[in-house]
Amino acid sequence: MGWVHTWAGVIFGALMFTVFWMGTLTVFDKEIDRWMQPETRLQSLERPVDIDALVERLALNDPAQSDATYVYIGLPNERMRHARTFVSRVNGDADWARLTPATGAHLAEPVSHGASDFFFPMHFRLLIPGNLGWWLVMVAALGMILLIVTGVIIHRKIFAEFFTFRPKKKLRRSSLDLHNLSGVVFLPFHFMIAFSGLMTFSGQYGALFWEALPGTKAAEVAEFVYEADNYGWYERDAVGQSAAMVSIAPLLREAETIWSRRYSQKAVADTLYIINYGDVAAYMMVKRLYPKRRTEMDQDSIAFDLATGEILKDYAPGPVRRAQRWLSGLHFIQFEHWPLRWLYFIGGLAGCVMIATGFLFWMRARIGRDGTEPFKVRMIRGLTAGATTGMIVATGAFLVANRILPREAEWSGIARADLEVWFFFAVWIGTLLHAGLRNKSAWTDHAAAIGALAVSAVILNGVTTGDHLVSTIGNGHWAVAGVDLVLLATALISIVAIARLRKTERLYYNRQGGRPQREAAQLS
Amino acid sequence: MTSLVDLIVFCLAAITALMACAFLALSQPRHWRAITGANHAPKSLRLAGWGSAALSLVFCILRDGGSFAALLWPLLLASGALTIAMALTYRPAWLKIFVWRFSD
Repeated sequence: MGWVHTWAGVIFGALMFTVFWMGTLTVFDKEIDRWMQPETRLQSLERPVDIDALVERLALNDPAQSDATYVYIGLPNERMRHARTFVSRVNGDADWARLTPATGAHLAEPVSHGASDFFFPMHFRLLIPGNLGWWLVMVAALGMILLIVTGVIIHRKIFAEFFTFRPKKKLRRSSLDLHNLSGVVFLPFHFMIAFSGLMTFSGQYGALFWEALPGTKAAEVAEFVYEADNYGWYERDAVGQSAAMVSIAPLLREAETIWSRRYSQKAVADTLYIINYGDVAAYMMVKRLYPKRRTEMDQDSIAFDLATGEILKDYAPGPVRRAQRWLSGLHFIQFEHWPLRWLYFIGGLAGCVMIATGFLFWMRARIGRDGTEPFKVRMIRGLTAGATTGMIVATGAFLVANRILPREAEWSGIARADLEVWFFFAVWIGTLLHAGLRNKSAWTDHAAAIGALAVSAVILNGVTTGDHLVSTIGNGHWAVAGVDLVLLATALISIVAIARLRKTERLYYNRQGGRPQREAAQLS
Repeated sequence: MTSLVDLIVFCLAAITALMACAFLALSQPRHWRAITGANHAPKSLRLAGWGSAALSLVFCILRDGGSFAALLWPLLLASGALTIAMALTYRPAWLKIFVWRFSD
């Protein structure tokens, strides 16, 4: 079993770190969004005063646009203060918008992908076009489960060393201690995360396998993957005859009453879709995608006839689908529970530590007694530093780029939001090359870069938006203040890490009577 | 008011989870020796550990109901275990408060 754990770890490690790190950041995606998109930093949470007026303004009141056929509104919540809307029109135009909920005023165009459109898709499909990213992340999740199981089998003293960390012992021992500690203690969480991640996308993964079979048609895939009841989605075509629509505010309240009674707790509708707008066959789907006080997500939906106000379909899923929704909810953490959100963040970071220390142990075990390193070790070290600390450096650079690039920035046809992403990948590749060339002190260099970038990001946020820590904490603007504080904590940790790396370096210089090649080998 | 009660119950859940990890760690001869110098850890420590863990679960369920408690409880215990492991390494003297009545 040992060799399975070792080689699965070496092969999947970098991939798993990417998925874990991006997932850990996504725990606070909405907060990072508000940090990266200052126009969305709305102070208070407001519900639209008049939802009917809002829909009508979106759908009809713009003289420059043709009439709407489809309107989607994602209502604001505690973590996302603005409303997200999508309207498609008779002439085929379609556009997303973000509105202040109370007045319906449009926010400035987004010029950054933020966390929701960068960290999040990196987390589940690595931003690779086509199906490859989906496959890789699925394999990483399966690899994670394999590594957890084999790790438990090969661990000799799970209980005897449950609370053990000995940093003063040799790096090989102390990195194994940290690997075991972060792995064993958070084992239930890491297993749950890998498993629920697989189950969240079970539909998509099913489609991948089905599509990969020769001679499959798209329609067959849809039928195979999606249930016959289409997850409660109601469908009917437009008739082509216009008609007046009933007011939708009472319908939202009706849906909320039905759900509140069904689950014996206060339910809030958070998403609505109006289909065939203005037609005789107009109808509205109301959902609560993210219940606040339940772990399940996207369970119930109700379809209302907008000509009469009657319920066309009231959908609640069956037991299998409910179990899947529960697992998805565990993975998506869109419920309102701040202690749990922080604990997920800590669990995610522990996963990153587990993967990185696993790499360290593997490398340390392969360095010869005389300090010589086989080529593959040098190569893996370069890759490892690039894939772990390098990715954190790139994340810092991404945030700094977000605050440095002017709003109207554009470079040879690349939009500003994409420039930030290019910046991320350029810096990431840079750290890979750097780690390969300077591999023995790569960790120290990376730690220094992380600290410098984190502090710069905090300063730049204060300078460019005026929302410095004194003001954000004073005004209780915790999303922005929280990102800044975590960045400062990161800088602090990187300073401690540098001091510790230097100390180890000096220690070995003295012990070995100044033979640098060997001590440096002890270092990493 | 309810948010204050929520906060208090959450703190109780977190503290009992931390106590559970401390007692269970001290029930191991190696850690007991490191903290107290004595050789044999009293058996009641293990009982106190699991008792605190159970109490923590009760607080989690009281605060959030079963389905949130199923997440909160293991994560609180895991964070507690990590804290205790780090304390054993860097600040072992702090754990003396958990020795309390067990050392006679």
